[in-house]
Amino acid sequence: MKKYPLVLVLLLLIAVGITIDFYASKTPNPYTAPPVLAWGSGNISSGGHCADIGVSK
Amino acid sequence: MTDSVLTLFARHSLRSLLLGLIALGILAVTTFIGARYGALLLIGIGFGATLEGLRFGFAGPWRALIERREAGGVLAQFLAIALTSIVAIPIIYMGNGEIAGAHAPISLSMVLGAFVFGASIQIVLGCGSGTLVNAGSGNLIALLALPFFILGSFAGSYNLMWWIEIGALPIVTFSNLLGPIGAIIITLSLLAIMSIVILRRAPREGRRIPHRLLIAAIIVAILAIANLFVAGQPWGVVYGLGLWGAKIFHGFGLIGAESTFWSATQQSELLRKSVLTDTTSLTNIGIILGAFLIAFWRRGLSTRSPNLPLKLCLVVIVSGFLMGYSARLAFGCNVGAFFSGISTGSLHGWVWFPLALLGCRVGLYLRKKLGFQEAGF
Repeated sequence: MKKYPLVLVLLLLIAVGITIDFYASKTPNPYTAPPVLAWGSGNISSGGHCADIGVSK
Repeated sequence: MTDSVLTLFARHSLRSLLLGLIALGILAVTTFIGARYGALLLIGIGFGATLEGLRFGFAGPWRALIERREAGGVLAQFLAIALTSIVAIPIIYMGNGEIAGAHAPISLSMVLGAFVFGASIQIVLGCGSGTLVNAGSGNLIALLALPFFILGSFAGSYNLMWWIEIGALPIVTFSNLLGPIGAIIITLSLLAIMSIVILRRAPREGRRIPHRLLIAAIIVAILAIANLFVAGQPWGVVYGLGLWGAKIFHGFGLIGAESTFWSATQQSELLRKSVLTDTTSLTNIGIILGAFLIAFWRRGLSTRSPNLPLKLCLVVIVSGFLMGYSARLAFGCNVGAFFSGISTGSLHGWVWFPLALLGCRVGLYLRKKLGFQEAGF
């Protein structure tokens, strides 16, 4: 089997997944989005990371 | 003549169209979600393009080190980690909490997880980042393993607290023990010692870092530092995959308060938000897109993939699941625990690496026994 259709299916699934998730989730507000750089923002780092042990930061 | 000119024109048009679509996607995320998220998607594309374009990886060089004692690939990884650590350790230390490190405890789950992860990646022939890169460039094994990698990452995070409660030491970072300068010195010294050990064992022809890997190591370090400055946390892979799995289960109402991990304030908040606001999800999507872009550019997607026998399909499915599950237990894969753990001064990264290498030995033995090479993989 050629690789083209396989990758296209993957990209399609990602696109569909993001779209469904976007409409099912809290709508993001770009006006309240954090600044481009976390460094110097004054905000405590709050993203999820593999090193998280599951307790709130 | 006319036909070849038309083909060339069509190919260039397709490449331009693809670049345009990706640029449009970044612009859309920047405009409608936020500038930070657009930047993270761009950084992820940079990672994917570099890993695929310059063939920089983790599982492959570890295999080369074990089977042929070749040092070049692993030394390139050490170089990227060293360069990242010089910037990462001081900014985390002085960042007043704005920048977090990949700091995790050494636990029984971590020890077991790193070993199983090492074994699984040699069966799938792709680590955390490698599976995303390989999937983006049309590798059949990676495409089959990816959904189960996601499922395993979710299952691992779901059970994470249970595993941690079995036994874990407090988190130890070199910065807390020795201060930022001491942490950089000990990290660089340990990397230098490991390099010398690996170089002494390597055959003469396997001692140098290939030029492309040297460039890749520098680019990966720059991107990892950029990730740190923009996201406020180091480069990671597995958390994002676990979140994708959790979102699917959450969508069907299958996650409740029984999961200590996903009912924690921070995690449940991330479950309610779009994946386009999650750092590791964005860089993961970027890695797939970047790898796809390079594979498309090289016309590597028009090649055929060998057929995978049913027995090997099942092995890949189980290995993909174990990769995800074990990576969550180990507080990260080759990226989150090894690369980011060591480069941000966490002791667990140093324990993770030899255990994963030990697992790789077992994985390579199993791979030979299972007949992947005979099947053309």
